[in-house]
Amino acid sequence: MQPNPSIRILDIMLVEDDEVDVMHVQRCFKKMGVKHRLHVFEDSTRAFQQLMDEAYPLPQVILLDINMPKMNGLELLARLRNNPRTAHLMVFMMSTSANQADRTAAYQNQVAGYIIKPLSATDFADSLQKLMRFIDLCAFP
Amino acid sequence: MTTLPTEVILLAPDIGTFSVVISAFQLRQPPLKYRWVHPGERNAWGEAMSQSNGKNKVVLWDASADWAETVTELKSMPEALGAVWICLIGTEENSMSEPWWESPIAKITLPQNPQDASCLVDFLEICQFA
Repeated sequence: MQPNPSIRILDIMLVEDDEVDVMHVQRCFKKMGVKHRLHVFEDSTRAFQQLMDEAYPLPQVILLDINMPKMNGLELLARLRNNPRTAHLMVFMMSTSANQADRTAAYQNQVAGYIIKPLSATDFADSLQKLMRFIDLCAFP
Repeated sequence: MTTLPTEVILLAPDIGTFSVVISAFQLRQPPLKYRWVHPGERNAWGEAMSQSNGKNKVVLWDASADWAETVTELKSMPEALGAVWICLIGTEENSMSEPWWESPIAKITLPQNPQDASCLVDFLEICQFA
């Protein structure tokens, strides 16, 4: 049976090193009444370690920034795709980078979408709301 | 920021399953263009993908029909590189073939009402393409 999106609660991992953007997402979730659980990782290396930990239940969705220290989002994405445990995970890139090479690299590693983080808080909230409505339409194993 | 794709390719044996989605395309200003390709039509597929090169490529695939193996092959063709795939599945249990279920691309239930179809098009609007 397909899950009923109206009662389904997803685990969403946000990998984002910018505290302001994290706060934006948290505020938007609260304002929009999003019931999904948001797991924030400001360090991509830690996020990867967590995802590799078999005791840790995998999230259904990952929202992934690109420009991060140590391991950037595209490197993390490539590692996820190369690991059987995480190869299937649905990943949306959320970045300020409109760089063509970044977009191509992301789609080559099968992201479900690539979203530019708008600069204004209103536009950011609007984009996030559209993304969350789309995620609510999504089916998961 | 509106970044609607220039053309959406509907890959399905029967375009009728996309009727609600097509209505949502037509409600946009300007209406979103689409092209229907039957999974069995290799030439039409190759042509659609080649002509979309350099544009924004989105493929909506009706996975409720039993064409998964063929589509997996089409998806791996060089012309398909960089395309955004969204898999539309039926509501019945096991309506989706195994290779698609394990794929990381987005899988959504085939929109049955204008509101869901509109959410799909809204998502395409905020997406940046390769």
